[in-house]
Amino acid sequence: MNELLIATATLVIFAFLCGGLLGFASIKFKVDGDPIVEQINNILPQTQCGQCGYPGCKPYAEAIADGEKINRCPPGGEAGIKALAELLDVEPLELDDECGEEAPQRVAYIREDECIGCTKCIQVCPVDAIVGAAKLMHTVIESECTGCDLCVPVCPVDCIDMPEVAPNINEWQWPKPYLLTNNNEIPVKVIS
Amino acid sequence: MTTIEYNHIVKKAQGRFNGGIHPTECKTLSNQQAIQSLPLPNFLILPVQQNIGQPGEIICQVGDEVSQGQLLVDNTEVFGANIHAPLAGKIIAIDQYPTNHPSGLPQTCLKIKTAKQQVSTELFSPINWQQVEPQQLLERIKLAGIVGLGGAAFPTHVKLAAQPINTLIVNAMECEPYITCDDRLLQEQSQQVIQGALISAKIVNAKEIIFATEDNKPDAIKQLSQCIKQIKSEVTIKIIVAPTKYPSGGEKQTIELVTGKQLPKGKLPASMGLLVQNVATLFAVYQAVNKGMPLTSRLVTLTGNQIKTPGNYWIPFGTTIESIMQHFDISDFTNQPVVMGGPLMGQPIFNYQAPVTKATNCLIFNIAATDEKMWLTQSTQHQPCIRCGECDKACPVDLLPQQLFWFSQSDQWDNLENQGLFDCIECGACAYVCPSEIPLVHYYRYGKSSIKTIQRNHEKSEKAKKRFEFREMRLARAKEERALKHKKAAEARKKAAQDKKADPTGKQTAINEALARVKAKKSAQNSTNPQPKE
Repeated sequence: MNELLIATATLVIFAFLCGGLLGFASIKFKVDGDPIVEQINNILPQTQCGQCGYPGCKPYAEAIADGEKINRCPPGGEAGIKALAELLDVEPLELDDECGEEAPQRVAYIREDECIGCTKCIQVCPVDAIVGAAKLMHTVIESECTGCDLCVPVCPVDCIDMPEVAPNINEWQWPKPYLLTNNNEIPVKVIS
Repeated sequence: MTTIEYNHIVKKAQGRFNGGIHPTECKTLSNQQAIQSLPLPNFLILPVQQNIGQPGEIICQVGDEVSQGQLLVDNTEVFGANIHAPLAGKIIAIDQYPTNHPSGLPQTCLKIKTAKQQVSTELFSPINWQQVEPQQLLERIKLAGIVGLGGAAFPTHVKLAAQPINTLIVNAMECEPYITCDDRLLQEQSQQVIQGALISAKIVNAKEIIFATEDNKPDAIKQLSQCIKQIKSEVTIKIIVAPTKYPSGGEKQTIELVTGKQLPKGKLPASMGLLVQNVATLFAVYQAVNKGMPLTSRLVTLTGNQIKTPGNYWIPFGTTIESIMQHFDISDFTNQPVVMGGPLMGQPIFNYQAPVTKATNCLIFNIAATDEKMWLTQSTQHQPCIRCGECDKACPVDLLPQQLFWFSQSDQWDNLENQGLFDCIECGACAYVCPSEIPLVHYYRYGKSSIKTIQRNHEKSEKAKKRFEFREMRLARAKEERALKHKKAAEARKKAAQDKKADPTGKQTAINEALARVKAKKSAQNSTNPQPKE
């Protein structure tokens, strides 16, 4: 009988100790927010264009964490979908046509002599990349522009262009080797 | 053939590195003739950026008459190097021209029509380097626009600012086939090169100068050791001779051969108290300091089976390949690649309008015979990798080239970095031994540039994220402030209404206000005219 009591008491004390430890850990090592949202958000291109149907990249990241499809981000393109699929361990999908097509990087350009200074584009720019004031000319800070297109439809005088970013010699990338033509190969070859 | 005499000056290298290859040298084609000059080209196409890093500011205009050595591009960036007019003439255009960049994208260049009469003006006054401060010498090298002439075009004044340095290693390995410009320069101008080395040693306060070379340059070694014997200096000068093997001339390989120690990953030679400089760079240093001449031309090896008189030539920067071809009357050379640089690390150029720049050490005009597999022939399709492991044996930096190849082929960037892709020096030894003729170096370049692009995009998106989050915060703050303002205004209105209710005519308020005014006035009078105390 005594053994039974000792065993029960030991187990109960042990259970309380473990419970206390877990309780302490849950307070001490509490995770704020959902880390998966942060990870998804890091993969998304941060264009903030809203083509996915959400008002920015973070909201879309939250939606993905809640089960939204991963193929709604045209600026991220195929590479982005692949990275998301890998992170979430799901099958990569084709890009959703409804959201748009994968396009080369573009940047907004305001034809300054046509600008009437209405500040509408300034208000919609998600990254504050347009400077200007009411009734004064506006201009785009090119290095901050994500090419999201949001400023184009709100302009009442249609003075915003979205030209493609010209290839820069310092940012040029070597093409994939099997896509090469004869002309670009490195002359390393075998001697007889 | 001269043999090398080993003595207290000329010593055998103690170190060695793994891997390496022994390609046919093809050096006797061009190293038997004395250095020559070419007649003046009609025009020059001078790229405004010839160094790594950022381009400088163009300080001339179309239509300007420029004299030889005049400063045209002022570069004050950290890794910047000035550009001077190679020849006297008139600037006829500033525009985008194709250059030797592998992308084929045009770069901003100055087009200069050269004058018939070349009057050389002295830009700087010559300095007696033994009597001035090192800082003054460093400033001169910076102004003269000197960059590393071994091929990397890294600004020399940045390299010479490293401290503390014990040993200056002069890289005279020149291990790549065909190239002989350093060899020839040492044979003919060894006195000047040694002076240049002594100037550099003074700047970095080095105690020792080591000329590192391969045993296939006996004439240069003989000439050099004779000159060293005549020099009286506190700095000890030695020559270390390594057995001929490609790529001994890589900076890390040279250090390993000379010191017997490996340079740790991610560290600069300065961390071992070493500074490595190329022969031609030191000659340019001598010219800038002792002669007051900026860097406007360089020695280029012109070779290959299409040139009747191959050799080494002084060529002003901006001289186009086409004008060189005209001079040598190379006419059957259409749609053939001119190789700029050596056959292992250089690049084929199909646009003959491309100019010679600071980084050009060799031009090869070669047409392969049709019935034999020769240098510089190209195949469009390579065979599959058979995992033979030949490349592993050839790699001088102990990487696994075939692993890099497989990972690059399947875009596995993390694995590529873990396999040490960024330690690859792109020497091409693996591609040279590959029985499947896989253009391996190309796969590495593709991998490297892809990873860099991904990093750049990531940085961009991080910046956009920060700006987006800041905007959200700003909008929320503005909303809060507005709400607070509205609340305050509402309260004020409410109070005013209550006051009005208590005192409908406003009489009491007026009386109270008048009383307060009188009180304030009295207290002000008291403080200005205090009563005298008894």
